Amino acid sequence: MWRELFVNNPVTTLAVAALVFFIAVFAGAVVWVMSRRRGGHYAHMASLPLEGDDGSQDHSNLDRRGRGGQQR
Amino acid sequence: MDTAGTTSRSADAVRITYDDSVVRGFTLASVLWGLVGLLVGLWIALELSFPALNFGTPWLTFSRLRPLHTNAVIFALVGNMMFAGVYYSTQRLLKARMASNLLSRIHLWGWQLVILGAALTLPFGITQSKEYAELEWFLDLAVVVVWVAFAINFFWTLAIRNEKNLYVAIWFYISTIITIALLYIVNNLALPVSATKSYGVFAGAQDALTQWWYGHNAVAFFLTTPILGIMYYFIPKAAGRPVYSYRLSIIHFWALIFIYIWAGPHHLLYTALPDWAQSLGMLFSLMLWAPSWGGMLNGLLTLRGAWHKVRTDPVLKFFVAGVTFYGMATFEGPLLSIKSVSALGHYTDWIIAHVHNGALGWNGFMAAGMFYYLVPRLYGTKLYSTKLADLHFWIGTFGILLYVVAMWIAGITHGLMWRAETADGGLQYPNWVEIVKQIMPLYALRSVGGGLFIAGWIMMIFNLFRTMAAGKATDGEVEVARLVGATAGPSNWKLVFGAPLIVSVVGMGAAYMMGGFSLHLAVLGAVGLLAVVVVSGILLSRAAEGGSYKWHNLIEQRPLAFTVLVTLGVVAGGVVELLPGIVLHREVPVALDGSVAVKPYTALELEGRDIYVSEGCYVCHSQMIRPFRSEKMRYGDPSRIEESMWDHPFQWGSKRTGPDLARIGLKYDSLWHYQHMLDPRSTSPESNMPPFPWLAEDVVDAAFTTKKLKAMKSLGVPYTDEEIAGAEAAYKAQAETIVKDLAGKGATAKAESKLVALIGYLLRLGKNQVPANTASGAVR
Repeated sequence: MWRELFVNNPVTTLAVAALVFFIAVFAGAVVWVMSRRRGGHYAHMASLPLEGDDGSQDHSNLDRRGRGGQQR
Repeated sequence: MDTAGTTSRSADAVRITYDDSVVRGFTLASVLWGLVGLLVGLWIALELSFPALNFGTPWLTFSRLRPLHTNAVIFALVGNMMFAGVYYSTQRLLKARMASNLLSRIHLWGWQLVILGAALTLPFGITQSKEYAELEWFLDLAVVVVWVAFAINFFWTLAIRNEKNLYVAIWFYISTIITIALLYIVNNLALPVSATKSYGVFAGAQDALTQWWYGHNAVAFFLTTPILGIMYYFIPKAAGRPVYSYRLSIIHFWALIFIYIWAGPHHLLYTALPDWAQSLGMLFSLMLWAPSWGGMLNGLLTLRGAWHKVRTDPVLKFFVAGVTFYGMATFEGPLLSIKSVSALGHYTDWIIAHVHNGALGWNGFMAAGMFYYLVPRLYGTKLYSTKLADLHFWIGTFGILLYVVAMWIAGITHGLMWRAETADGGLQYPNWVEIVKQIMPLYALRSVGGGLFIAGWIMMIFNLFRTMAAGKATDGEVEVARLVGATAGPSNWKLVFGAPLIVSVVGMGAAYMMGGFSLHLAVLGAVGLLAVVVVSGILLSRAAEGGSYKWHNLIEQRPLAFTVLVTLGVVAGGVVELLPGIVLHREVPVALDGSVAVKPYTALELEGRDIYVSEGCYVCHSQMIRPFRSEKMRYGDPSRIEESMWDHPFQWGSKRTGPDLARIGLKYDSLWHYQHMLDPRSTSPESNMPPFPWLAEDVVDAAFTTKKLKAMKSLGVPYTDEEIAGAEAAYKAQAETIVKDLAGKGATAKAESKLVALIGYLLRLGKNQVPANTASGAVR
């Protein structure tokens, strides 16, 4: 069967298959990342840029309704 | 550490004064050098419409100024901007002042000296002719010294930091420092033959692959990764919100740096480069879509809940547009890497559109956004005029769009007209100038677009200078908890060389070995490689969730482990792609009649070739005929890999503002070249090529040719001792033959002139014999 695959498939087919496989893996990883809400774990690192020059935490990261973003 | 007086310590806390003077220095350098680079770009754009604008002056000529434009924009505008962003954000993210004031100053002033060196050499024809790596060997050494100073200062600062974790921006900076060092050194390995001239150690296809491994990754790791780091710091800062997804940034980072390094060969599709390398380049370029867009979306989604700020804040306006242009450019890049799209777009102005999409839209706008954010803070005041910044934004956006759309149309027009055939199978537009005429209005439109962008840049300079004048240079200060004690968890060794890496390396090795058997197996190996990535991810995930340790969290706390992993990630692609070409034995090809098929250049031809390089002919002319029917009809048989095997450096080119020259020696005689170089419109009416009258007056030092032949021999070019000893005499004899030939046709030339040497080289092009073991390539 493998021999058949090599003989009968032009290289472009396999290249496209490799690409589709990659995109699927990448998309799967992204979905996995986005679907699991564990905001606390990375919250500290994600908010590092928000610390002011005086060492204070910048609390302006609230939207107009006063909500903070969920860290993914 | 020479930071005395800037840091005071108590038992648990430390008060830090950031070194913001170096940030101010790089900011000023970026905006001012940037203006120079942009103006040179506008000038040479106008020269394409009005070629006489070089006024018959060598250093004002398009082909000499174009490298100055590209180098100024890349290394002066973006380089200085990037360093400003790195110094500002690194200190704040690590809660530490830069480790050494001295190294910061060496970096700042050393970089400016390198730029000055570029400005004083490139217009005068002192160049290696490798795109974005044109600087000659003595400036390359200076770049390395400055880069090492930067690296030591950066990693030293990591070592004395007061923040346990390295934020994502720092990862991107680490990848930039490591990878640019690697790329720059390998691509610029050269043998000096004088104070201002060297020959690269690689030749022909090997040189082409190395150059575009460098060239593509200069875009990746100089124009992209550091700016992504800046994006990850400054967008949250300006929006007042944390990055949308820290986890996505992890995937973005590792996928991007690993995949990017493989994509270089997409600059060489349908060339004489082996097919396997071309396919690899195309495949990895397409894969780049995923991490690039992942990063773009992560940047834009950081603004969730803060989009209303974009209406009023020019900083966010520039950042949002910049990241959007990044999305456009990183969609277009992989698209152009598809072989059938490349067949249409390569060598045309479509590539120029793509480049400016990224350079003006992504780099230019991210720079503007960052400067509007930084300067008021660095001078303790408010921005002089928000309205002027808004006007800059709109005029700049309109300018970029005008530029890019004009070049898109010009490029596609170019590509279609080159290949257009008549009903009976001939070329519909055999005269090159006929094609050039069609895109002249678009060249004018491009100049208008570029001019608008520059007008916006000048507004920004005015705005920033008024802001500086209203404030006073201020360094940030902060009191932070001191970071003490070693990081808990497994050792660096165990972190780096744990199961995930072993699995990855074994998987990559297996995939590579499969490629040795057949291309089919290589592609299957690529699929296997991706499976390895999945397995590694699962192993890492299990290690984290099993409670033993959180792997990525730990390597974020270990700069050494992190840097080793980054190095392994970027080295993999380079080794797999470059190694076969470097270790392969160069066999001298033999023709059917038993003679050497590709003879090394004669002394005169070699000098002529050096003049071709020095004048920057490669900027507008390729020497690589692709295997298409239309190209065979227009230029002759497709180029073969062995034809450029003695070329240090290769001259395949990347743009055809003028026609391909690979077989020009078979087409025209010495008189045509003579007239064409002195007045291009005398042989090609309406051509937009500049005149090169100084070539008739400037002379070649034939005595120096002997030294050049010796250098070539030491690089592997098979010159005999007799040829080297008789180089000067042979030079004069061949020059006299050309002079006599010209005289017979009514033209006068000096035998020692550069013009005669260049004619000698051009007459040689395409006159190699076909090796006995070369199968004729299929023509598409």
